[in-house]
Amino acid sequence: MSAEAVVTDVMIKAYASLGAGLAIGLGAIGSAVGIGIACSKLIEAIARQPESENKVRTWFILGFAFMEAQTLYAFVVAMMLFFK
Amino acid sequence: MSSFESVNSILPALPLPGLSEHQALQVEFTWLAMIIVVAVLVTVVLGLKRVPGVLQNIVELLTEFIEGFMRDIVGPRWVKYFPLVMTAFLFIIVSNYLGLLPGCVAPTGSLSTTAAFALVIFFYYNGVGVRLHGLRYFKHFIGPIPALAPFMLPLEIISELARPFSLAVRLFANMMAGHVIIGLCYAAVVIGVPLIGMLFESFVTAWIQAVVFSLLTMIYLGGAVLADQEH
Repeated sequence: MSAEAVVTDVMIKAYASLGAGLAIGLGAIGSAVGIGIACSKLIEAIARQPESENKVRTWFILGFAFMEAQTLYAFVVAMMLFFK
Repeated sequence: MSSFESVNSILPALPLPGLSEHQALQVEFTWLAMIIVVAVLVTVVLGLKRVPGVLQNIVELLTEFIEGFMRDIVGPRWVKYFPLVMTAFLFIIVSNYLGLLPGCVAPTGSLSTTAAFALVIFFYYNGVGVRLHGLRYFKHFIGPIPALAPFMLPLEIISELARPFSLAVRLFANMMAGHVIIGLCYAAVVIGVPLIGMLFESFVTAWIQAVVFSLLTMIYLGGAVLADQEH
């Protein structure tokens, strides 16, 4: 392998690692904000109507999984970059 | 991903043709999960008692849990679709917890397992919709206003095709992320710290993902069964 090829290889690895970190970091912003809003609304709803807790919590868990999934997609992309 | 997977399994990796060692292990643990589910259910059903024991109590609790959702979401004809949802739920919850035992591999940590489940569910609920409503089932693809159909049709088709994809990737990514986090904790400190990851996974990820998977299955089924009504 020539010196140039080695440098290119190292650069690809470096940028892939950088991209992996950015992917998971930026990807987590959205679901963090979303889960925060949903959680505050859940507490609000339970405080207003304590008897609705079970039903509200079920749909919260469902929405939680949807929001969390966005970060997990980012995580998969980060892993693909990292173990390139 | 392979660098985080432990090779110290309690089962020997069989030399299955065309599969790597880890894939062979995943196939074996898929069978193990199926055997656990079938064995537990057969034991409970053969020994049904009026005053339930521990095992019967657990199975009844899980069944009633899913039954409550089915009644709400799928409507009066829920019994017919109950077996598929319950099978998916039990298999996923058993294999999620199986992956937490040291020396075991989670079958749901493989995209092949989750994709197979998602595809079965995708074809099943579309088949149910077509059988119950005929070609009218496809009417919901064009949206509520006929004039907007050219815009709605591609969007609806994309969102329909995204369903099995997101079902499969959500479960797989959750399990894989959990295992990678446990692996990272293990790499940092060998004693104690991995427990944090394992506790989080056992109390949050493992059962929430099983519940979410079966809830989404029910919602899709409910959409197909009640396609002629407003919902």
